[in-house]
Amino acid sequence: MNHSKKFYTRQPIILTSASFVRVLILILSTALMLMGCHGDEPLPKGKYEHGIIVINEGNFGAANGSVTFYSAPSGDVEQNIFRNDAGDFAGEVVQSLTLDGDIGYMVINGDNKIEIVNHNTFKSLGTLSDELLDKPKYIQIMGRQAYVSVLGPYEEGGYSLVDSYVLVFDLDTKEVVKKIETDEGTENLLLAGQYLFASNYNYGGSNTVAIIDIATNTLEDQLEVGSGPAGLVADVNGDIWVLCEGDFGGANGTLVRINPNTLQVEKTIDLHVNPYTDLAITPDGENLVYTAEGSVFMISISAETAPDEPLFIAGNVVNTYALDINPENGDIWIGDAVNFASVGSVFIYDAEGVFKTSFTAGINPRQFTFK
Amino acid sequence: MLLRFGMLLMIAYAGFNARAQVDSTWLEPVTIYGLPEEVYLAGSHTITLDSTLQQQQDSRHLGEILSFQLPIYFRNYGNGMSSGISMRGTSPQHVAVRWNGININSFSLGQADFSILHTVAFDAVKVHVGGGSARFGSGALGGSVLLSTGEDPKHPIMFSQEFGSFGRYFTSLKGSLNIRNVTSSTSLYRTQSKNNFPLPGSNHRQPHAAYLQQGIVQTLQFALSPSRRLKVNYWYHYADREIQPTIGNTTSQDTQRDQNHRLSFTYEQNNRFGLLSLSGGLVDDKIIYNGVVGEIFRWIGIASHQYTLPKKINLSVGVEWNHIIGKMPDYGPEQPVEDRIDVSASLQKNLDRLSLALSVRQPFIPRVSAPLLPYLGAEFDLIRKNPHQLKIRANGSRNFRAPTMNDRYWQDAGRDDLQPETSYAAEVGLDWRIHKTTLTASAFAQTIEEWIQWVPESNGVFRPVNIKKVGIKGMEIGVSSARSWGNLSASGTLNYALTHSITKETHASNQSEVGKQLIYTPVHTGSAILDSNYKTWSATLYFQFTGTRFTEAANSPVYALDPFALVDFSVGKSWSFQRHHLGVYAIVKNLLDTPYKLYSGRAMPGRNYTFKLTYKLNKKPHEPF
Repeated sequence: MNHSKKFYTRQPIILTSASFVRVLILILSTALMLMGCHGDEPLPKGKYEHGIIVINEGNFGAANGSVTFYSAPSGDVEQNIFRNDAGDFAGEVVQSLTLDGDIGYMVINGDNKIEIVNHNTFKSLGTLSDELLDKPKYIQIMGRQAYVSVLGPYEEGGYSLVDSYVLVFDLDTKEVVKKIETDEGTENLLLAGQYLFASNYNYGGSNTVAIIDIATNTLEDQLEVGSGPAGLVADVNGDIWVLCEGDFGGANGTLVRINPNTLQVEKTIDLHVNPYTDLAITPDGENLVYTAEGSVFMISISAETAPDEPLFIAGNVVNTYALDINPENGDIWIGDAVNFASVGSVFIYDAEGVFKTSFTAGINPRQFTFK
Repeated sequence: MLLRFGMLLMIAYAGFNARAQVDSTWLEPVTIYGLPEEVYLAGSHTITLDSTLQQQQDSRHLGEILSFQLPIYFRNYGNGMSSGISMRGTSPQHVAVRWNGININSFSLGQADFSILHTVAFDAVKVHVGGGSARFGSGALGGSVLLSTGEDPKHPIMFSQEFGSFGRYFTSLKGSLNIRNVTSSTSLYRTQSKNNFPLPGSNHRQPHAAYLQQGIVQTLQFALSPSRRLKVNYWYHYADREIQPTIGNTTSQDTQRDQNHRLSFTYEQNNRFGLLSLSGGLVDDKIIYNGVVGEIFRWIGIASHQYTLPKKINLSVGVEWNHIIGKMPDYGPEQPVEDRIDVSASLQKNLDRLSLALSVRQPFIPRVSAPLLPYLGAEFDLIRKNPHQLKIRANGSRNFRAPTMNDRYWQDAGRDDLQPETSYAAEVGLDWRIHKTTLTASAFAQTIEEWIQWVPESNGVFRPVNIKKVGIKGMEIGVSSARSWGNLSASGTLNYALTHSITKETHASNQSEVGKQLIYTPVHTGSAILDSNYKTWSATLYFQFTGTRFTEAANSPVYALDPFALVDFSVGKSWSFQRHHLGVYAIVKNLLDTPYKLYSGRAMPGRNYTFKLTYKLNKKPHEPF
């Protein structure tokens, strides 16, 4: 009662010119303070700034390769966030995405082009294409140069690769500046120091890793490793690891360690399985993760032999098509292509292999980008 | 080249024809009557393509015109590119295409590519809807398309020329003549297009989609006596196509050439022992993809006999033999060779208002246990008071599809122990007519088991397995009517089909398919044709509607193709002078400029135009008796 009376009898605020100035100063200073806050925490760069990008190849011949956005931690999923200028999807066989600052380079294997996007908004910034860009696979950026692994043409009247290479683009002119010949079936790329490492996979038909000196854009060497070298990672010591698939049905996959300074093979570990092509590394850079027939294996970089037991069995995964580890929290991500005909799924396990969650992606999920 | 040769042939024909007329009139060919297929398929629905409309649209491939005439879906991999049929909720492998009684589905893929079946090559086109393996053998689950050449020629000379958008030309030339006891007819056709149509919703044009297709059909009939004749049918089709790439691909260099030779010799005799027909022939199908030749060669023998038993029971027995040689590089160093034999018998009997048909067929395929395939159908005239007629019909059948040569012999993947797909199909329907208005309605159901799917094994290799079970239910309705008012006449047809084609069971890795509609199988399909004539003027409106099609087995809406409606419009004028008949037509295709796709990622053109010129020489009127 008393309180309300006091409130009721309170003087109304009448702004004198002096008090008006004071209020104005208050408002302005608040505004300035708020603007200052924005300076510390910049405005979001776009809808897709933080989260995980899933690259989905799509069906062969249907031009429905797509990009899925998974928003962590909400778990919201948005399908098909990028469409090329003519189609309803990103393109024919979307192979990989590589980030460089705010720019993303998306390799469209079937369309023989590279879509350049702002990966925070997935707005198109143009494309890279060239007559020599024939079945591109992966891309790495160093300064204003882009290195693209290219499978190249098939033999006349057949499906054997006859001329694979790494193509160097100048990103300012968008022109090819160099074609560096490699063994057939060049796929994964890894930049380490002054070298670019490129695995010559060729479905098990090649067995070398090309080493390219990026100062001169010349082939330094092609190191012999196991059959079908594919996934490439660098460990905590800077050593390069190559996952080799082995011979078809031969259960003779290997993990090979390359010294990035001497450019020599230092260690080869027999895996006694034919692993899937993708190789992942834990956030501490101490353990490597690979899969074979639905089992996920973890091996320390100091191990001498392959583990007998898998870390876990991904029981719900029908056909592993992508494997990676979230560097933020060590979660193991697996892309499931299911039957290669219907939409695929992504399964997320924690670092110990305990299932966390899964979500529907596009057709044939092939690669994850954590950002 | 082919065409130039044809021109020469035509001139020769015209000369012969003129000379032949000097001493004789156009000879009546030998008449040998057999009962049409429909009779042995009493209880089901067979549609004959309207010959006027067929002639008007003869420059298009069958996949383009059937989708306007019937509620059938075609998945075309672009404009003028490969085209697969989907009838009654089945896949393209579940429709048997037969040319003069010979199955011409690809024996490697199991399906027919309708884009290399040019309407101009056929004298008659019939479509049997529903299960018909008992008469048409492997693959006749959704229906059968029956093509024939060598019918009695209607015009001594026919010529047609078209010019169209995107650098499209079409030329056809047909000639026939009759000297003494020999009738010969020749048909030549050629179509080509740059096919660089503007991509809907983009500033670009479709790259790399040019095509050239041409062919020759030659028929010879020797009348050996009034009741015996020998027929030779030869058809060669050649297609050379840049493969239209998916939207957004501007670098594709893929090309495909098709070379199809089909040759048959048929001896027919009709006497008191019945109608005997003996055929021998060959089919040579070649696909040359990026220079790699894949070939399936077949020797074919067919014998059939039709006879009317006491009590007016019609009997037809037959045997068909296919000797198949698989010359595909994908089959490995050893060419698989196999013999397939089908034995069949059919009975048909009319009992006052009731018509009954019973057929059985037993195929024999090496290392495959093919089932016995019966068909039982009945039709009953409920009302037959002119002008009001109502017929009800029903049929049931067991059908099958043999594993393809790819399924059996693909190196390191094919399985020799695959079993055939089998189905049970049933249908009820009615045909109702008052004056010139007809209504046809059918409700159908089919269960297909042991459906062959290529499934990835744990090592990533795809191999075929008998795994899927599909349940199909649906209905079709068709209405047609014709009216005339003095010089003005009009006719119209309207078709609609509702099709639920659902995966019931499948491989463990494909569980997301279960309970879902098959891909590229629209639930709703409709078509309509409105044709009107005023004196020598004609106008025709073609319409088709296709509902949503899923392109992904789990029916994800992200990948579904949107429904669309297409309208084509044609207007024509003709002039007749004595036996000469000249026609001029202007045709607008996709009048509403609708953006649409028939297959994921493959563009189809917007509004485009064709100008057509036709010339026909009519037969000389018969001498009075």
